[in-house]
Amino acid sequence: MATTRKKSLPVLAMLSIFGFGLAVSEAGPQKASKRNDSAARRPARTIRTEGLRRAARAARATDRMLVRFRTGVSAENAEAILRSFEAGKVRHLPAVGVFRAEKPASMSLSEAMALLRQNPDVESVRPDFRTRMFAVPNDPFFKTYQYNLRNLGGTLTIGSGIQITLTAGADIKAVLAWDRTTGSASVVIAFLDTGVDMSHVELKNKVVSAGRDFVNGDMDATDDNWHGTWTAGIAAAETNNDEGIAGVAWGCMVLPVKVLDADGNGYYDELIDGLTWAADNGAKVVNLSLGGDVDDPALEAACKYAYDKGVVIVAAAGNDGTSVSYPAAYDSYVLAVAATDATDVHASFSNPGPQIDVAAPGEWILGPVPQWYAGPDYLPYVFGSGTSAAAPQVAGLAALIRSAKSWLTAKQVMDIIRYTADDVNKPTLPGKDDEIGYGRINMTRALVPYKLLR
Amino acid sequence: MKAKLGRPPALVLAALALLLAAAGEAGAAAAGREFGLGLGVATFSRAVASGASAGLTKVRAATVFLSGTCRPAHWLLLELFAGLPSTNPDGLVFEGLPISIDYEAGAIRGLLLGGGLAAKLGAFGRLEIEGAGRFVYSQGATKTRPMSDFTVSGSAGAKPAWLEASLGPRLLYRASPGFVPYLRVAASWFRGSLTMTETLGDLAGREKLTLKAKAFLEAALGADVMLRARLTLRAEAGLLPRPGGADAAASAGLFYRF
Repeated sequence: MATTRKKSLPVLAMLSIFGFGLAVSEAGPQKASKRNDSAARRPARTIRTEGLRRAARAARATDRMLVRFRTGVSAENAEAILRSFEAGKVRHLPAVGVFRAEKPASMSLSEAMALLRQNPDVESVRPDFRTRMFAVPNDPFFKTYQYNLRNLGGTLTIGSGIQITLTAGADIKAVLAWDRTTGSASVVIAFLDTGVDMSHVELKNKVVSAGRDFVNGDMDATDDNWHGTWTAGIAAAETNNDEGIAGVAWGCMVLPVKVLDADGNGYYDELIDGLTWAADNGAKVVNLSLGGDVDDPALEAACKYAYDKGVVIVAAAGNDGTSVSYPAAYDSYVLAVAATDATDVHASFSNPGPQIDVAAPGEWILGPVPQWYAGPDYLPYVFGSGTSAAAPQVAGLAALIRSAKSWLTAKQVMDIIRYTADDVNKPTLPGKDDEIGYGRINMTRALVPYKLLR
Repeated sequence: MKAKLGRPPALVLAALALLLAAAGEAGAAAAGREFGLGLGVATFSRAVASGASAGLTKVRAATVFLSGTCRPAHWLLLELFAGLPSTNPDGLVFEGLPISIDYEAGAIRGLLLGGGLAAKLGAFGRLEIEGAGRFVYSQGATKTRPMSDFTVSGSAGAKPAWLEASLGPRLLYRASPGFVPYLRVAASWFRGSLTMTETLGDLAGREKLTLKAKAFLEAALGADVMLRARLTLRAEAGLLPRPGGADAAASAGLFYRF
């Protein structure tokens, strides 16, 4: 490692974090985060919420059916027919002209349906199919602010007079994907960043250990900035806990690795140490919401080291609108992530380049931060923008794929993420392009079985 | 559908040639022996457990078959048959591929070969009892479909195979020379597989799902109806009870004796 340090330092390749607020002032975009003013006004909960139940596969009922009678048969006559048929409980659904009837105790549902079909007054008889609850988390900010996970359109007000327009569907399609998996606790995502606030309600039960601090040389990767907590929360915040936000891979765990100092700066040698340490300490996915401007063989070798160990490395492309930063630009080993906005348009700050693999929403993304950073009058969350916010969503998806299919190689996971993306700029840039690569990620397509149709 | 048929048609033709040759030779030389040819259709719907999945999926098949029979002795009937099955495994889900696939592409054609025997065990007036057994092997062609909606092109191909065997008594009632209803009860065994091959960009995968039927007992009612002196119609319908329901099978065919 000493050799590596000597090699990295002369190039003065400072790392920088890729998250910032876009509160536009007269001076232009500011590198600042935006506290969530309106989030402080939390609505009183008057409706009891239930914990998430894993959904069963859709199936038909075995004891009830839906019966439609021919036009001209009155509701009273229809009900009388069902009574004479010795149906159990009968319920009229007048808006759609259908009766729900329980089958007679003396016969099977198939027999009952066959018998009813013989009645000339009956138009159709169908089983009553089961419905199921999708994995919609109960975290209050999920519904209100996390358009990146589920975008229903409209306008998002995030305080201080800032409003952004949302386009329905410009999201990463998280909800249906969660119906397949919310992640496995055996899949660990390492966040090589400024550390993680391990006491934050969104993360305190999610960290596998205190991690490693390569900046201060100890085993306590506590966040002294805010950025690492924010990115870790976007990817893996505790979810369905009636609190704060939902994470992309809420069942997966977090390994904090501090490679950036309190100001968000670091050196390649710390990043190299962090990558190899994470790969050796159980990380299946590494998120790098950071980067430098200079290509360095040692950094590339560290990426290869982790990749060869089966680690999926996800890195932010950078926010200065120039070229893809390193290590995101190491195409063979790293998924380079660009940012889109709430309308599925490439974010102007997001660095373009041929190495870009995919994109995810990166404007005004809500994530957790340390309470001391938010200040005593604010909830410990901020809206921030940048490819830093986009990368952890892709890292979360990689962790979910790893959870569902542990046998896949890192390349296969990366290819699944690439091939299942939505080519949202297809009209202007069809196919893989320098702005958003293959497209904005689509969790549902990556995780829900593809229907092979006739 | 891209059907890759390869060798099986040759097998069918060979089997038919053998049957016809055997029939011809027998007609010329083997007095007392009886031969027959038949043409029919058969169908079944069977609930199967696939792979590690706890749920059941229905596999349906319909087959057009040609049958050749030989009665070397008055108490024994041997049968060989070949056919063109259409197997529908809709609803099977492949989770072991890089991109999971829910097969909903409908029936897959293929080839089927089988054989059977029936041996007379005894007679009590108009009642007769036989022991009957048969096996059927079906090999499907590969049905390939494009995988659309992805950022790269790809396709997936499904190939079914199944084997069915049954053995049990058949109770016949010789109501008249031209009408013989019967009840057949049999132990039934069904195993199969559906192999899915996927190619999407650099991703490739292959997964074979094993299919095991949940019903192990079949009860069927049928009848042989003599339409002409040498022409018989046989029709049969059966149920295969299993936990939570029943599977079904039916067949019908015309058989010519010489």
